[in-house]
Amino acid sequence: MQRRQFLQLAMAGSALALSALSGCSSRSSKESPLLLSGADKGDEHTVSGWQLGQGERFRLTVEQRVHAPLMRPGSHEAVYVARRPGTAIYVVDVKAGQIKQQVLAEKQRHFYGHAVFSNDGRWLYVPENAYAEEGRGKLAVYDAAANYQRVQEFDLGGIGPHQLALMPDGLTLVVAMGGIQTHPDLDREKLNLATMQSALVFVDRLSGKITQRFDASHQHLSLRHLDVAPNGTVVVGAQFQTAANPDQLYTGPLVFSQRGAEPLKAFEAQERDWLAQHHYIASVVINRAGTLALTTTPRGGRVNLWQLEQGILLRSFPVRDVAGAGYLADQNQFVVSNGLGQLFAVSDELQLLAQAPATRWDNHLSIG
Amino acid sequence: MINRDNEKLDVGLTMGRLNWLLMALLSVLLVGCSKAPTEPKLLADTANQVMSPLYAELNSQTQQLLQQSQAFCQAPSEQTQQQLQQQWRDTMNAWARVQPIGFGPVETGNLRWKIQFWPDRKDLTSKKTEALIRSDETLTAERVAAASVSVQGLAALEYLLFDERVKAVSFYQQNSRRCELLQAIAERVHQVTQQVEDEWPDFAAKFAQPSVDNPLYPDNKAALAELLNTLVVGVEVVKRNKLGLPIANGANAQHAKPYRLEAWRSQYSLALMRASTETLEQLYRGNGGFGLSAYLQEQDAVDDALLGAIDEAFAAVNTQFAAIEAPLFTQIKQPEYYAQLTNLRQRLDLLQRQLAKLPEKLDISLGFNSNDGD
Repeated sequence: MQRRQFLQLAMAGSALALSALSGCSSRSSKESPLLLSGADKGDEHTVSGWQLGQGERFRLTVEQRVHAPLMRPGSHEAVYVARRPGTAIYVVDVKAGQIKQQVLAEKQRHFYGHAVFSNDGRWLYVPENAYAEEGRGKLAVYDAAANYQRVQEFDLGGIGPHQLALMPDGLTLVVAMGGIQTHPDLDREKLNLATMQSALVFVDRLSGKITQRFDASHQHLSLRHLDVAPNGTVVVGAQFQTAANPDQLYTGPLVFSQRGAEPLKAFEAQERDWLAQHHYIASVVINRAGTLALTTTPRGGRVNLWQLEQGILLRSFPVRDVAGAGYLADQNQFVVSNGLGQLFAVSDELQLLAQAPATRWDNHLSIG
Repeated sequence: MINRDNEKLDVGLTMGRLNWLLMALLSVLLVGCSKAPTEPKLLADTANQVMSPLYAELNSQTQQLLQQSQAFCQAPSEQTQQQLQQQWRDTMNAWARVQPIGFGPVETGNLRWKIQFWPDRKDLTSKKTEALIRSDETLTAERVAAASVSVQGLAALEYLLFDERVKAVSFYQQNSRRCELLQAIAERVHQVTQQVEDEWPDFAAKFAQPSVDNPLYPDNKAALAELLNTLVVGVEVVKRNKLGLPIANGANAQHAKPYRLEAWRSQYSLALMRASTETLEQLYRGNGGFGLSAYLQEQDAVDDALLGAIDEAFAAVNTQFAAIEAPLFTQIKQPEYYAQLTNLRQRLDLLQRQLAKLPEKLDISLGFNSNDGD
């Protein structure tokens, strides 16, 4: 089963690599995938769109470093959310390659770099830090149909909301609450390591009611990045706060799954594989079939491929400074990006898809 | 006569042509040399001639350490203990030579702490090691691997072998668990350095052959960045962690903190500082191969003055090392001795400043996402 799946993945990878290499001349009727990412070039922050097989579609200089981009469903519009403690959301027309709008955070609020749309593309949900209110985590609701007007906010009952995703019911949001308090005046200093508590929080996106909460298995694990399988299984990646207790070396799990009303369940790997993650998971992506999960760690320089159901490590590839990850549904293919400008297809093996010159792909990748 | 003159003339002409041709050929060769990238040679020589022997030596030393631990435990005596202590020093020295390398299998596997738990400000090593001995758990390499890192590695072995309170041979004779733990830790350290040696060839191949589809080093600059970063950070670790913190950064001899010294129990700190610094100089000079210093001489962007300053800075550090007598631990608060250490720190600082100029000169930037924190 797994073997066959890998072979399929590998074949899809070869096909993709071939189409990427054949370049502009053989443009198919269906356009190749557009990869969205923040990308630094020299000292400049940019938002970028990269079409596989064709290269850069747009690259726009922005004032604030962005973290995660995402497409607005049913549109040619992408939003790029500024990285903590940024205060901007850049709305980009990916066809025209232009910034359409810049949405700024409310006073005494900043974003955490992530957001998610409702399935109809109308509502944008953006985690915020209410840093003047002891760092309470809020979820702001923006109306994309009304020039991204801020229409509502919910309290998330905790600190440090980071990545979030929409559950298959289209109504529930799952939020990784990192648990770590920061204040923009104190740079990115962690203010509450002694008391931090990270959790997965489920929120009704219409009422703002918190429906479920699952705490992290260790007080110093900070849950940050996640993805949701079609059957509603959540896979979440953590960062362990070594600074909280530098004399202890945490060698436990950093990736967990969560189903239904069950608590977090740790993925299984040997101690050496966890250690090699350097206490830091950057991106989590699940394939469309919901059978495989991929995680990246830039500190450890590794891409790990997991069998999702059992939570077993299948493969691990060394890739330097790797962070961004996405899944190309049409090609049945994972793709990862790194700070050296490389894009790799990941299956049975790594295959270079492209290298963007003088480009440092930032933390997260999204497929347009 | 005429014929002879003609002959001479012909020969002269021929020689002239030949010289011209040789000159032309030589200049083509020289231009060829300067244009052909020398990075592959630099990277291959650095991997094969500098790094490979260091990993092999470390793994060989931990193997002997395991054997000597077993020999001591079969017949605990002053003599076998002294042999084991010397073997610990040799192993620690081999580790201090690997320690400053900021890339490769130790780094990718995050294995540093498993080989040496340091710094240890709360002296967890003694507390947790004694707690494990007092417990009723079976003491095996597997148990050690699952324990806190403060009871793993060379620092825990140093505690067992050198700490005045517990090192007596009679303790080992009275309580077999001390020896069980000693052997289990030694076995575990050897397993970890074996992992390093096993993973090294794959890493070395990637380091020595940057290419666009190499997921670790897509180009020569990425590999060069590792090397330069290791030099700058490596000197920083010696200057700050190994020396600066124990001497309170040169503030005052009375503020010196001997228990902050690496390997204070064995009073082996100075040798370890020197061993780490020697690796850094080997990484710079290439250990007989085509090293960074030779490579830099070919780079227009790096002027001779900087290279001269780096040479002088290395020499100044080495001279000062030679002027200081071990052990630091007992002498660190003596004003004259302390002044020598402060001087060493200044010289390391100067060396670091010179080395830190290299990345910019070569238009090399260091990590991106790996330095992030979201």
